[in-house]
Order: sequence, then structure tokens, then C-alpha cells
Amino acid sequence: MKLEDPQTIRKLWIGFYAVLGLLVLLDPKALEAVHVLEPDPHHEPHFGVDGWFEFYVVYGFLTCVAMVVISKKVIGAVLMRPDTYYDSSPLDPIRDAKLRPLEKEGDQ
Amino acid sequence: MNPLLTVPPATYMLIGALVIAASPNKLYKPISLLAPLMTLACIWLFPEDLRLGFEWLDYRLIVAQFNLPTKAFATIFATMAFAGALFAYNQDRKVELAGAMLYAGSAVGVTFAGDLITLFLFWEVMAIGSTLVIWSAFNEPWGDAARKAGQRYVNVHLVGGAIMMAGIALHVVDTGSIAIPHMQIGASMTEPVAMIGADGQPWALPQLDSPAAWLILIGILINAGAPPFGSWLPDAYPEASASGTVFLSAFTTKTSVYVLIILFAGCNLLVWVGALMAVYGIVYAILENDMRRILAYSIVNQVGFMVCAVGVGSALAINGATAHAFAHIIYKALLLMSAGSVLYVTGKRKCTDLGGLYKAMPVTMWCGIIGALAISAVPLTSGFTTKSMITDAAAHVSDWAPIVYGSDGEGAWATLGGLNPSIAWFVLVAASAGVFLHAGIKFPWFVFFQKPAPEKDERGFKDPPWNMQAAMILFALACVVIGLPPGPGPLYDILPFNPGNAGVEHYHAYNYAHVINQLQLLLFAGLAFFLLLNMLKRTLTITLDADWFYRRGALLLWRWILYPILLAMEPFHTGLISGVPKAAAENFGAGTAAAGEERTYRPWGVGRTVLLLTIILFVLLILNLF
Repeated sequence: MKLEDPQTIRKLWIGFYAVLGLLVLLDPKALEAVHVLEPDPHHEPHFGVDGWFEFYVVYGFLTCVAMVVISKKVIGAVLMRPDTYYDSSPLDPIRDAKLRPLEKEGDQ
Repeated sequence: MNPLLTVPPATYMLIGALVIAASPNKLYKPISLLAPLMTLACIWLFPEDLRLGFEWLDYRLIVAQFNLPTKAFATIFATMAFAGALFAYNQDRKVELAGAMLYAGSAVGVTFAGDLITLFLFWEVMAIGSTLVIWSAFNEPWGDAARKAGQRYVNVHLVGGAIMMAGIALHVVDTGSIAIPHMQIGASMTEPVAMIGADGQPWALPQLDSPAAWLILIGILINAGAPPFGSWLPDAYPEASASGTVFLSAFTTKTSVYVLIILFAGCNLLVWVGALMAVYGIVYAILENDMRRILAYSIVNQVGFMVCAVGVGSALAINGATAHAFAHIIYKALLLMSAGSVLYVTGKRKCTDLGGLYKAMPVTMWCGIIGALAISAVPLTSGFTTKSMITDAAAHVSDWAPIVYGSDGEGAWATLGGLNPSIAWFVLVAASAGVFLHAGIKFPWFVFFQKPAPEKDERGFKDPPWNMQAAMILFALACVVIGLPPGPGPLYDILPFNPGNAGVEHYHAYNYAHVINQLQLLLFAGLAFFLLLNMLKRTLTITLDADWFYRRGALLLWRWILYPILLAMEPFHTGLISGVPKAAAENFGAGTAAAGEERTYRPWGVGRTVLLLTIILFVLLILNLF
């Protein structure tokens, strides 16, 4: 069994989905609703929505998708530059004829 | 009491810095391990109620006393200096270690400072020590970049220090006191703490109603790395050496958190500053390619949680900020040691060049993964037991949010620019999920996995030397020990409000709902990561930040505005420096010009003029003292 084997990767994905499914089933609010679990006074909802079923599942997934997409498509589109952007700046150049090969070997 | 122990604990590290700088041969190496341990012993043996001070001018300076958060911060600073020195042990980095001891020692000094002037002096020495650490990467392949980044770094910090000094001076003029306030627990753990000044009056800085308060706050926020003042952090930290970045990650931002706690607890603006930092760190880390710059952005993200907690200002939040700073220093140093080891072994910094190291560097990989789990606050790691306090404190909005009463007598939560205080909790929870995305998975994935590892690594990559491994294993163990249920007893006992001094209960992070909810949040964030992996593929790019204004903007300003103005002014200038004196000499004067001879003087350069002025001012200052 090797990590780079497609079979192993497939198994890892199946395991991951199994854990995710288990976590959905074990949701505290859902278990409280079917009276498997007593409501925990240390963990009562403060804002309403955080007491909904599977709030953390949905919120974690959606906010992360939103963060990646907004970072990449909005902020990245405006502010990303090639990583040599500052190197040729006349104010503080770090690539001159002498340094270029060094940078290429160690940095590129 | 032993006189060797009743000195300010920072003394041993500050003397250690000088001894390291002066020591011949390899003698500095054991000293770099010994000095932090002696400081650590001194911190723990320092009597609770002792105040060491002396008279200076018209002030009584308190160079060492325990404030409520002092013990936790000083302990972790000294421990961190030890682990960092251990990590650097196999390399010949005398200047870096001297700088790091100066840096860490003065950070300990800040935590023990009993007045604003002492605090400020140590604060400034930190800037010097840390600049030395950055500059000591001069012999790395990116040495030139390190030199430039160090220059920008020290300029930002000197400006920040000047702003803070101006604020302190104004504050002293306003109040006549250099004392720092003390904190009292509110009616419950979730209600704001009371800040009492030395005169027994409520401490006014958190209200932000004077220029002094704003200047001090901005000075601190520059060091805390809050956008838009914080772009020096991701700019400078990744340019230090493999071990240098480990030192840098710990002290400056966390000292700022400490100072915010003792001066600005309950300043609600900080809730939003912290929330902004938490989100900013994630967005920039997602876009970043340099592995250590990812971790630098993630420092801003984590410090955002602490700053937010200071803004909430309840006893639980203050405890959370302190505990989270403690845990954060350990796991962030661990992550940077892991990244530093990769850099040390492979010489590569960019995610696009890395990956497929899981077979070659197992110890480094596992330590990196433990650090990544801890920063993500996975249950059974330190981040879970400490960050929970902050989100929990923020959730008790009705206890901490100030209420404003409308004309109809109806009370409502005060909003800031339309931001309802309950939004803070949602931002913190989203940021917790985002941490897993940008540091928890992204760092180990792109550095160690990402592509298949060759069976026999012909590049010869293997785990780094024993001392680097030992430092990593030490901190990996600490991450797990602090995270074990029921909670970090020894750490909780040195928090600002603990069972010993405030009679409060330990915080309980472990209950069924919290553990499951945290796992749900994180693992579904992980699902988002792998589903969006294509969008997260690293590119050879950087992301512009506020440092653009002084790296490029200033240049454009000079080239297109200031320089043309200067050119236009040149005739006046020439007239002023040669025409006027000449005319004056011809009309009224004697000497060579009057006699029609050529002038024999040479104009002075700006540098020499400034030097002369400085010397004159300095002499006046000295004379003024007597």
C-alpha cells in the first residue's frame, strides 16, 4: 500500500466521506431533537441560527468556498502580480546582472 | 531572598545577548541555551508582590513587577527563546542569536514593565534586536532581499515607536502619570473587566477619546500587524534565515497583544480590528506561494483572534487572548521550524517547487502536521483549548457589547458603522474554518504531499540534524500536552484570572457538542479545500499589500510629482544659494567676493549639516540635564 497509489487515494477519499457522514449523523442538535442527547447548558445557541441542525457543517463548508472564491476571483484578480514585481523596482532592485543566476538557482 | 533572583528577569537574556556577541569561538552556543533557562527560572522565582524600581528624572520607573498577564507571556517568551536557540544550535549564527536574545529579553522586559516609560524602552530595543535577526540572513541566497526587507522593517518600527512615544508623552501631559492600570474581574467571567488607573479612577484609554489614546493604539497596532499598518510582517519575516523566522514569529505581535491587554482591554473597536486581521490573514495566505509567507499571513490571522478578544474585554476573553498567545507561539514556531527545516534541507521556499517530501522527511512532516492541527484548533491539540475561550467569550454578546439607549428609552447594542456586535462571533467561526483551509491543510499539503514522492530520493533530502528535530519534537509535545482534556491545568493556573487569584473555575473546552461542532466545521472546510484544489493551485505570484505605498507608491510620487516640482524650483534654488550671497557680498561685504575674486567656500552636504545639528542638540540635551 503506497500513498501515491490511485487505489490508496480512492480508499482515503472513501474514508474521508465516511467520517464526514458520521459527523453529520452525530450533530448534537439533531441528537437532541430525537432525545438521544440532553441539551447541554454549556453549549446553548446564542444567536438562533447556531442552534439549527447541522449549522457548523453548512457554515464551515460555505464560508470556506466563499473565502476561496472571493480571494481568488476578486482580490486575487485585482492585487496579484508576478513574484518578480518588486525585484526590478529602481528603488530597491534585488536582481542585477550579478544576482540573477543566484536567484534563479535558489529561488525560482 | 537570593539577590541573583531579585533582578528583572530580562536581565539574564540581555546580558546573554552581549556575552554571545562578544564570545570567542563556539562558546556562544551553550550561552544561547543557558540564558533563556536562567530567565525562565527567574520569572518563576520572582516574588509575586515585589516591585523593582528606581527614580529617574521626576519619575519612578518600575522595571519589574507582575501584572496579571505577565507570567504567562514571560514564560512562553523565555521558553520560545530556548527552543529557537536549540533549533539554531547546529548553525553558526552568532549575530542572529545575539539579536534574538536581545529581542526576546526585551520582550520579557515589556511584560514585566510597571510603567509606560520602561515599557516603551524595552519595546524599542525589541525593534533593534529583531532587525538584527532579519539582517543576519545576509549570507543566504536571498541575502540582498533580506537586507532590503530589514531596512523597510526597521523604518516601519521606528516610525511606529515614534507614534507610540508621542502618544505616551501626550498621555503623561494629560494625566501626569506614567503608571499602567490594573484590571479587576467583572461580575462574571463573561462581563467586561474593570480597568482602574493608579489614581483609583477608571482608566480612560479604551474609550479612545483623546489623541494620546489614538496614537498609542496606532503604535501598538503597527506592531500587532493589523492591516493596513501590518504589511511589514509578511514582507520581512519570510526573508530571515531558517531559524531567524522562528524567532521573529513569536515576540513582536504577541508583545503587542500583551500591551493591548494591559492598556486597552474592552476597547470595542479592537473587536473589528481583530476580525479584519483574521479575515485578511486567510485571504492573503490563500493566494500566497512562499511557504513561510503563508505562515506569516497566518500569524496576522491568529493575532486577529487575540486582538478581537482584547476588544471583547471580558475576563474569559482576556484569559483566552493570553492562553491563545501562549499556545500560538508554540505551534507557530513549530510550523516555522518545520518550514525552516524544509528550507534548510532543500533550499526551496516556494510551494510550486516543493511537495513530495513525505518519505524523505518524516519527522519534519509529522511535526508540521501536529503544528497544523494545533493551529486549526483540532480537539486534542492546544489550539482547541485556547481558541474556544475566545469564540465562547465573543458569543456572550449581551454581556460585553455596550448598549446605547435611543430617544424612546429602548436599549440596543451599539454598532460600529452598521456592524452589529454579534457579527464578530460569525467572523471568528468562519475564520476558524478558514485557518484549517489556509494553514491546517494548505501548508502540509503543498510542502510535503502535492506530488508523489520518489521511492529513493536521489536528491539526498532527509530530516535535519538532531537539534532541529529535538526543538520540533519538544514543541510538538507541548502542542499535544496543552490540548489534552480536561484542559491545560498548568497553563490555566498562570492566566490573568485563575482559580488562585480570582477564585474562578477552569474553562471547560471539552464537551460533546463543542467537540463535534468543531470537527464538523473543520472537516467540511477540508472538504472545500480538496474540492477547490484546482483553484488553490499555487502560481508564481505575490499579492500587493499596503507596503506597495512605500515600495512603489513613494517612487511614483517622487518621479512624477516631487521631482518635477524640484526641477521647476531649480532657478530659485540656484539664486538662493549662490546668487543671493554673491550679491550680498558684492554690495555689503568684504573679503574675496567683494574683492572680485572667485568664491573659495564649498557648500556643505545635507548629511554633515544634519550630523552637526544632531551633535549640537545632543550637547544641549545633556547640558539640560544638570
